Amino acid sequence: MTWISKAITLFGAVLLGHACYSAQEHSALQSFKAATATLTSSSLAVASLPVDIAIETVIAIIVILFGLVLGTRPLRPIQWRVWAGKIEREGEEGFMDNDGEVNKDFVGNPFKFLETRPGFVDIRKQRKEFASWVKTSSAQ
Amino acid sequence: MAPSLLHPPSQLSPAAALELSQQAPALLQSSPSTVSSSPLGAIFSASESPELWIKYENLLLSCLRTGDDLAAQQCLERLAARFGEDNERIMAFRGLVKEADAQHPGKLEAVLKDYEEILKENDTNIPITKRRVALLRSMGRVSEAVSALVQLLDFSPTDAEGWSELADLYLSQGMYPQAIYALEEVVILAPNAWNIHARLGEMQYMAATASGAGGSSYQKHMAESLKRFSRSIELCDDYLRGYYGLKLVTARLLKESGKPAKQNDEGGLRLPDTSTIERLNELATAKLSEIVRHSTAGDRGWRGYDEVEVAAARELLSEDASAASRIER
Amino acid sequence: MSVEREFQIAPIVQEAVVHNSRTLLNLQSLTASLFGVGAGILGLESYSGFLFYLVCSLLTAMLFYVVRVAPTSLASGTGTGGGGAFDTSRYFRSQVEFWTGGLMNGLAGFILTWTLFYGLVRA
Repeated sequence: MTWISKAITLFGAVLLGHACYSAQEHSALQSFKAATATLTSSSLAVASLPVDIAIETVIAIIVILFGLVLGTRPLRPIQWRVWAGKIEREGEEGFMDNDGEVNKDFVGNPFKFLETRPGFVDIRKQRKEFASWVKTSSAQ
Repeated sequence: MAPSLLHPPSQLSPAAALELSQQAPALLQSSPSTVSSSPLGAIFSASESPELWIKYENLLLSCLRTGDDLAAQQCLERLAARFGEDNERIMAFRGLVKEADAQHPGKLEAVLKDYEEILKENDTNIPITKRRVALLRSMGRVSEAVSALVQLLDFSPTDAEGWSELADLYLSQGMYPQAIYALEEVVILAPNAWNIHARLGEMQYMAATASGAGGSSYQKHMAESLKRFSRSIELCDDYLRGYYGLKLVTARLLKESGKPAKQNDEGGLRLPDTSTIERLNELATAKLSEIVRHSTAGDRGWRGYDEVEVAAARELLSEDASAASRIER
Repeated sequence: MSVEREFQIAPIVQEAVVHNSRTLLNLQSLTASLFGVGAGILGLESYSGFLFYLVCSLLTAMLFYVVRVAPTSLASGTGTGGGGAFDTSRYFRSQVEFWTGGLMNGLAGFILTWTLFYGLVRA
């Protein structure tokens, strides 16, 4: 996903750079012409930007804009019930970034610890459970 | 998907815990063994991130669980080297490792004595107090655990985790009113915690079933339970657990609605009338079957549910369907 | 009073609000300087430059709406407002902020790059 947006943005940037360079060259040429025109004393108004450069600029802007918008991070619902429902229904999948990795600050249900209570963990019971699990799974 | 080391591992299945603890050698090798805490040293040594320490803590817990004591010890040493031996959390982890090592009751007594020594010096050490409560409970001395926990909550009444543990302790003793009271404290501290609302609903339901249909408190508990489950699904769309509870409560109420229900107004909470309960029941059934259908099909955006919970919901629905068809016949 | 009560019943997730508005703000400040480059190259002056900026900002908001807001909002039958199309209430607290917030946020960046590129190209 990200590489698409990056490629589009890069392409637009190249277009924009080209347009910028063309416009600069054009205006330099104009001022040169104007300078020679005053020498030969014939009136020649400074022509405005050629239409192809203008079109290139506008297209470049739209392309970059599209690339940048595609590259924004996915939004999160702000209403509590929608947000909580998303956590419950989609799990980690709902909180991926563009590059397909789960967001670092995603913690799942933030109130889960009130039920698991890590501060009160009964480590001996967990060890026993794990040992019996190993036994049953290796017996199978 | 592999479980992340960034989340506390206490609710994971044994298989997932094993998978986590197998990451231990790789993580221990890939990260530097010492990280200097002084600003000057930080220039030369590797940079640290909060995630690394969270990973160490969770790895420590997983390794202890799977019996990989060597890796656990290593994690602990690194944490201790960074935060110092007198850090309260580190002290609690050290105690945890000792608890896990203890083979016979005598050793446990020694660990308990250690905790009491620490608390004598500084009785506001909350992690150690919690360890002591957990150890007492693990040794079967529940009443002592309760009194120690009550003491803790006396000087730290905003500790939601502590209140929740207290509720669980009371529940294990069958003391429903006390358990409900403790869990209500948790709800006050975390008013938007949808899972706690559902838990409270479950507890009220248990209390109602324990007191029996004839009891005077039965109606009150059922009404409370209905209310709590409704709130939990109000706070969280498509909450499987909330809808499951709602269906359970409404089905039971509807089954009994034939009997003349005597309403007592003194409790302040009254059951809604039968048509409302019926509508709630229908809603819960519809939602549950939607969740079960999507989740079984593995549709995108519906994969976050716990398989066990979905299976339970499916069972409840099929039970309900078979009961309905029996009535029709 | 009633608003407060409403928030008690249906709370708002603050972290999500911050996350969303930061995402939008990042996009707006990036694109505003981009529009400045465009306006400078095109050689726009005074009112036409600001008009260009206005149109482009609205275009950004529109595009952002189509790419990020619309698919999920419409699929879930929108948030609470039920305002049909152009309803941003699933992700943003106020519609006005979403559609016109970029105008103020990016204006300084726009003028900076506008004058810079105008000078570069025409000098």
